[in-house]
Amino acid sequence: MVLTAGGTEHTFTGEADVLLGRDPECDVRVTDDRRRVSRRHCRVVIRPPRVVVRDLGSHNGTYVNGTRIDGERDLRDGDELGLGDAVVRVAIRTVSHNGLTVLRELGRGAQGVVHLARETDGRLVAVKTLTAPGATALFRRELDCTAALRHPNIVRFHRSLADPLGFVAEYCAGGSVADHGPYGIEVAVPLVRQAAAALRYAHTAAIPVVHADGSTAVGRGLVHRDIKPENLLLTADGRLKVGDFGLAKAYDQAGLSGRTPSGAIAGSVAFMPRRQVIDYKYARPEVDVQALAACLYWMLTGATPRDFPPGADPVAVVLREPPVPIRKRLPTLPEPAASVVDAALGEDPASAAAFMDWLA
Amino acid sequence: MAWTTGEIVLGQYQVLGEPLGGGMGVVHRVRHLGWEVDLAVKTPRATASFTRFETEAGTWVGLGLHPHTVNCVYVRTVEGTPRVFAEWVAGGSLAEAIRDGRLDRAAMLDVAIQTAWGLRHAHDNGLVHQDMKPANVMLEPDGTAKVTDFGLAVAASEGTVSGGTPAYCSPEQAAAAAGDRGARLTAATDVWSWAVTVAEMVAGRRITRFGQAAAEALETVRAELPAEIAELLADCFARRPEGFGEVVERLTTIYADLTGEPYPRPVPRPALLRADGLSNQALSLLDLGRVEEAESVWREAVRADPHHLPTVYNFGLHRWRTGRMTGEEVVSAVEAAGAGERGLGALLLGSVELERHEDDRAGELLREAAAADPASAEAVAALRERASRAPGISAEVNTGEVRTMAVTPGGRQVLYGIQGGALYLWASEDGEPRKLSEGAQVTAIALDGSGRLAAVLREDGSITLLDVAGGTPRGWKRHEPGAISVAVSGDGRHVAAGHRNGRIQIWATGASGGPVVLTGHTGQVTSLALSHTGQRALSASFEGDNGDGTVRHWALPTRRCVSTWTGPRRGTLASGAPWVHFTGDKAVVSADARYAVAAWQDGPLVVWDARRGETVSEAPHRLRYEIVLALAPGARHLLAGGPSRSVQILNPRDGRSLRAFDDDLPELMLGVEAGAVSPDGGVVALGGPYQVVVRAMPGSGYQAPWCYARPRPAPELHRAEESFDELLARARTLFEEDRFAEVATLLRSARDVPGYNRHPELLTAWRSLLPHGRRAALIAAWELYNADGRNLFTQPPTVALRGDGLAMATGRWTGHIDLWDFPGARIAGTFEPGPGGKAREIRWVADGHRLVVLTWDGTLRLLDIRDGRSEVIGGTRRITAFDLDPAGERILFGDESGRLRLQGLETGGTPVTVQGHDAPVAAVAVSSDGTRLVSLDKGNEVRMWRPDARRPEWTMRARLWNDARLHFGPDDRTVLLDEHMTLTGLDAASGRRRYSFESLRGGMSGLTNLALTPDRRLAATPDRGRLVVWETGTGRVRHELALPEDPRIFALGPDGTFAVVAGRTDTVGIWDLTTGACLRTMEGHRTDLHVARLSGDGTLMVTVDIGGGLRAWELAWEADLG
Repeated sequence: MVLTAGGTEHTFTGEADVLLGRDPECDVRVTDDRRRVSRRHCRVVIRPPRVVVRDLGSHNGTYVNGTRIDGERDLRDGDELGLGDAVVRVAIRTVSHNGLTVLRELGRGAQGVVHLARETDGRLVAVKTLTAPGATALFRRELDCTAALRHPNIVRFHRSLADPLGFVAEYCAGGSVADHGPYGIEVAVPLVRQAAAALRYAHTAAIPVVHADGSTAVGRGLVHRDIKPENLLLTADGRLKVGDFGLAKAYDQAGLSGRTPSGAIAGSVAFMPRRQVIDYKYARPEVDVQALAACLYWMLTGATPRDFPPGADPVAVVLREPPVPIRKRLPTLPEPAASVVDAALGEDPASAAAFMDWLA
Repeated sequence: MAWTTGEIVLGQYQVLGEPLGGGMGVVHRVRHLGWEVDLAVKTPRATASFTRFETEAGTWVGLGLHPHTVNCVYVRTVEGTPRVFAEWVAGGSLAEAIRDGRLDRAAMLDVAIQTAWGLRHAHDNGLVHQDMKPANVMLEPDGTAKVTDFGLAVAASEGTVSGGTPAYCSPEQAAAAAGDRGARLTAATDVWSWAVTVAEMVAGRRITRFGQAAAEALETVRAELPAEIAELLADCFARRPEGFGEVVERLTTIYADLTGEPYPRPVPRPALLRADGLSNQALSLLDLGRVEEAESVWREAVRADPHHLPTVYNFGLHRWRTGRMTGEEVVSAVEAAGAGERGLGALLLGSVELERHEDDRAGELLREAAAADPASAEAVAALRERASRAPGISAEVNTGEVRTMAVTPGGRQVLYGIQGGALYLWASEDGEPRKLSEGAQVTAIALDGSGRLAAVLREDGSITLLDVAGGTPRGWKRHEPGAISVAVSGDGRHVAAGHRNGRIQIWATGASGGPVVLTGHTGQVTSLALSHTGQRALSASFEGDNGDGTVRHWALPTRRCVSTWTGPRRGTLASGAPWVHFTGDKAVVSADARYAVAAWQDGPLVVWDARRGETVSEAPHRLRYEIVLALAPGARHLLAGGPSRSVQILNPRDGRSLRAFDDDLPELMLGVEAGAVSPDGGVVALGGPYQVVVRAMPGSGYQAPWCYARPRPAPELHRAEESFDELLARARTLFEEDRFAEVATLLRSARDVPGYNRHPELLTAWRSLLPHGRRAALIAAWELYNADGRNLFTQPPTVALRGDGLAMATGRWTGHIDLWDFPGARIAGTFEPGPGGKAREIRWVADGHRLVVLTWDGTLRLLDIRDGRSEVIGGTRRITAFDLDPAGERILFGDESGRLRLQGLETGGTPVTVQGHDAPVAAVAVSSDGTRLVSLDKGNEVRMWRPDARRPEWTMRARLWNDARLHFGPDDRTVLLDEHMTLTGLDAASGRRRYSFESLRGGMSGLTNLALTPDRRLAATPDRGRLVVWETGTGRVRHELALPEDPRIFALGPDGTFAVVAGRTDTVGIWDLTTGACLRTMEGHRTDLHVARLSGDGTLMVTVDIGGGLRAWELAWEADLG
């Protein structure tokens, strides 16, 4: 995006907050002869693909194409911003970065932002931009290994991106399991069954492994480590695909995990097996299964296996509180579904296997 | 704003390498160019709460030095953001060492113990780290571990989050983060996080993502850890100890068990913050707005080292800028402290002089500083400022008696009217003032906003306009009898006049026709201003009974008074109306017609915003008799001055004095009669009986930079502290054994320990050595305190300092006698006034328990300080003179009837009475054995008596009895007749003259004519430009001390090695009599000195000036032995 004020071009790419006004501290200094520009007049907030201008309580108001804005307004290419007697021209060039044209934001979380984008060949894809300060090339290579996974119930990983750090993956138009629910058992179980198929495949698939020294070998099996409803995506026709495969491992390997903001901890530990909460390196296949059981629990009851009262440390809850038996929440749930789910939420690997068998 | 590599910030810090991300923000490595020291500069994220950051950083600064904590040098706000400047530790963090697997088992335990010590040091100081983790442990290449970033994580977080890092947080931190308001963070929190850190170090990897799960996580790695360590960590998680005491003990045992060797490091002790550290801490606190704490830390630094240059400079600057010290005092103090440090001394002094606008002196000093240290960025910056400075900002010129004045921006021109009616223009750059016109007395002068156009109002009512630059009149002229105030609009297009009857007239100078007339005031218009375009006017009507006590704001287009401002209600008039106008009220309006300031009598100092019609601020004030008031635009500064030399610049919003000018004014400026502020507010002009003076408005332009002391690492300080302590301990032992020469050698070594050359313990040690050796170099001399006795002391002041210097007596004008704890700076007790009025002379009896007081009415009292009793000696006769024998056994006194009486001070013993004279006695002296009495009467007759004789042994004639004194020499063989202009040594047996000295002093009474050593072997008499020191026994001259001016007040050091001398200027010099060198000049008195007294060992001194200003000084000496 380019802002032209008083003959000077100011170019901004990516996300940015741009302050406009008379004050020398402003990112774009705008002055006029009659001092009708306030010191801090307005702010342009660039969140590609969206660009918004916000008036900062300026004395004489901010105008877009001659109309005074009321608080905030979206900007488009070619708009003219009016600050006092000064005019700032707005040029927004669609970001065609990494060969992708970003269309709109799909969602954002602790790890980053997901945008819908179009590849040069016209395909729609999801682009996830990651916040991973200190991430190295090794992190990307780790991510790229995920491309080896090919399964109808696993979101296809296309490629990683360097700047900004992120990756391009298959776009699932139906959102995630977390966006809907609760589900009846007749809907929930077939969905979870598809996820189970994905896990069964991934836990045994041949997949490249990056060693700490950078060398690669072929390993067997990839554990997701972060199975939760948000990562169970749905296609337009209602099929389930497991997303973000390999991402949690890449974070762990790079030593970047553990930066979860405290507000998001409950979200990240609610579906995680207790053992994994204690020791994140404990990443055997059954952690995915146990987490999947927790997802089914949530899909059926609308509640996580443990209650997280406000003001309580979520980690302490996981450490001290046992899961609530599912029939306490949903007395109508028939056996053996209830006991299989309850058992899978325990710490016994054998129960996890039983859960998978029950689904199969 | 981001710093780039290689950039030099503030001319002082070179940014090295790329910034690093830290838990609390960004870390830059910078090199302090002056110190050649690398520092880590920590800047909080823009989103952080600066207030909390400042608080926490301030606590870290105060932590003191410890070998296992990273030293926070200071906190300084740079580019609007508070930044922590900390010790730079080369070698990286523990996090990196763990990742690289660099540590062996012994090194891990070593780090565990050292970090526990570091945290314990913080806990001992009441500080909880709250973010202990491997990334916050710095490892030096030699294996020393240092904990860093105390408290910053908390401060850097955005409020709700309790800080800390999830992987190391304690259960209570996690609970607090989840919103539990009851969670308390204590030392136990740090123990927990420390244990997580140690577990990670020993396991070689992070054991959990959630610190609060560490107890469970420890079990998952337990098999990999040595059992003893695992057990210790498990105990930390289970038992939650509140500190590291037991933990460290167990660790040292584990170390010995696992390595087979005892733990090598000694338990560290925290280093005291010496003056260097304290001074930096004070600056940090000041930067953080914690002014009172900063001042208290500075006082502590002064106690640690009274001549510590950065402290003296910084504290002096601070007090000067807050109006509690004069510029001269700062200069004097910095001069004294900087005596030993040429380069830095010159730089700091030059910076002060530059801020004072003493440009010539500043230039000299700064060039000297730059020559001493060509790399000094401060010197270069100050010299650049010096070079850019417009000349004439501090200028003065002789002239007639100034009545009213105006000054243009930059101080380039001053327009003023003098007594008799002449109007002068002085272009300060050209030198001589030029007379523009004569006429009736000039009443008022007003300038437009640019200072190009002036309106001059004379007593006859003529108003003329003139171009200031050329001093040429414009055609415009009015005649308005009764006008007493005048104003010009900022754009110069309107002129206004205020009348004695309250009327205000406003003319547009470009248009013909009559003026706009504003009516409303019912009293004289004393202060008047027009807005830039002349559309608004602001007027005040004050000064005694002729004003109506209102400030009025007018809108010209409507000719209406928009708002009226009156004083606070301070009573009710007989009519029932509120009493809002006292005759002592003062008000002045700013030349831009925006603000008015009033100093209400018995009310506050108030700033009023005329355009908004509201009060801006209220503050206490003490303005009462000031005849000059002028307000800078924006009401930023208030000039208040007169009628004496006193002038100050106040911040009208808080009433505080920003600068007092009196000492900065030339001597000829006997009083301030007129004053003005330039339209831009940058310059002040003052006029007095003979002079016009131009000064820069304080606070405008250059400010001398703070001086940060170079930090020294804790181990270095420890070594210094240890060797100093050891040297002093050895010296004390040897002192007990009377091996004084060796003591002196040890004390000299202790003096050479960096940072300890003026340590109080060292000074005390020198002081106790002094009686056993010869006085040698003066180590330091400084003011202990000062007291204002203006409305307390007798006039002239009476002071007696006891021989040991610990007690002092002063007389009050009410007749009370105050007894001071002299070094303690407090009045320990007060004797009620007795009969006979106020004290004329006070002397200590040799035992130090009693005081003899002679009053102006002739009463002699003996006061006992042990029980507070007082006893009148000599009955009801009017006693005119007295003397005590050196042993303090007898007192001799003479009275108005000419009678002499010698009596024992203890009860018992028969008093001896001699009817010695027919005229009143003027002076007496008693020999040390009490067998001879000498007296002088007001008939100028000197007589020598034996107590039992009826006739004098001999008599002689003195020249003039007034102010004359008599003394016996030390062996009683000589009598010193100390009379006006002459000192005569008489043979005690025959009365024959043995020698005499002409004492060529000015001739005024009250000056010292003779100073004696306590043993009376040496005496000093004044001469033109010299002080003559001679032996009382022979009259032989020992020293002739050449002085820059005639000595007026002086005293001799007890052993005759030095003299304290004051001349006409109000400074006191300490002079070495052997070498004739001036050892130190001490300033502070605002007026002529009256008396200087030294303690018996010459280490304490009191000086009192004729205005009642008292200053206590300490002189520290080295001793030579052998």
